[in-house]
Amino acid sequence: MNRRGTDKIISVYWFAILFIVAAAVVYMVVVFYGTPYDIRGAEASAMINQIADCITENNILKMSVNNDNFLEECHINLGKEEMYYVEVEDLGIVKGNFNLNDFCDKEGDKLPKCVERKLYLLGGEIVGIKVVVNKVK
Amino acid sequence: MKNPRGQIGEAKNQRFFLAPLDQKLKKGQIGDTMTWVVATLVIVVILGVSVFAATLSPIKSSREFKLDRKADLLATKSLVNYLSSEEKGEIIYTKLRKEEKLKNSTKIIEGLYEDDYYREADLYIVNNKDVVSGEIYDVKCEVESKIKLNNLKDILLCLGRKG
Repeated sequence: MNRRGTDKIISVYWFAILFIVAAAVVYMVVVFYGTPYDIRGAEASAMINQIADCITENNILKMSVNNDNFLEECHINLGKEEMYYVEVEDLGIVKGNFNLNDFCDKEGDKLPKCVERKLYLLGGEIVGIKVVVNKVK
Repeated sequence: MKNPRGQIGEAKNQRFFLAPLDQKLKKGQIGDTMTWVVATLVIVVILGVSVFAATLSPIKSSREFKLDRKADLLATKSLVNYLSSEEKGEIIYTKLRKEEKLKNSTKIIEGLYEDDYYREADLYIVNNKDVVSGEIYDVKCEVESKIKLNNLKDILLCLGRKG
C-alpha cells in the first residue's frame, strides 16, 4: 500500500518536471524567435529599386512621371499612406506621410527606417530617391 | 567464541528484521524523495541557465531581414550609366580602356555610395574567367556585379560593404 503511495508521489514529480521542462522550452523558443523580423530596410530598398526602374527609360530620367501619376506609373501601392514617405528629387515627387522625414537624422529600433540612395544617369545627372518606412503599430 | 565484528553484524540484522514495517518503508520513501528533490533542483538550475542565455542572446535583438546582400542593382546601374556616358565627345568606357585606367570608374561608386562601401573597389574585365584588363586588389568581394560587354567578356565589380 505504502509503496503505491510512493509511486504516486514520484508520478506527481514526473509530471511537475515534465511541465517545467516543457514550459521552459516554450518560453525559450518564444523569447528567441518571438521578436519579429524588421523588414523595413529591405522594403525600402525594394521600393527604391522599383522607383529607379520606373522613373528611368533608356537610362535617362522619364519626365512623364510626376507627382500626380507617380503611384500608377510605378505600380506602387502605399496602402496605409501614414506608414510611408517617398521622395524623388528632380522630379518633385513627394508622397506619403511627410512627418516621417523628420526621423531620417535619428537612429533607433523603434523609429521609422530611412533609406536614401542615389542613381547616376546617362549624361551625368544624379537623382536621389528617399523612402521612409514606419514601424507597424 | 564469536568474533566481535560478527556480533555487530548480527545485531544490525536483528534490528532491521525486528523493526516495524512502517519504519522500513519510510526509509525507502525518504531515499526516493531526496533523489527527486536533488534531480528537480538540478533540472531547474540547468533550465534557468538556458532561459537566461536565451534572454541575453544577441541574435534576437538584431533580427533585421536583409535583401540579397551579394547584389546592388543601383550601384551596378550607376556604374553602367557612368561608363556609357560621354565626356568630351568620347564614351567614358572607351576612353578609360584606351588609357588603361578602367579602375578609375569606381570613383563613381565611392562618390555615390560612400556610406555603403569602402573606397577600395575592384573592377576588371574578364574573358572566360581570365582577367583581361584591370588591377586586382585584395578587396573582400561582398557585393559582386557582372556587366555583360559581349558574348565573351564581362566587367566584374567587387565592393566591400561597410557594416
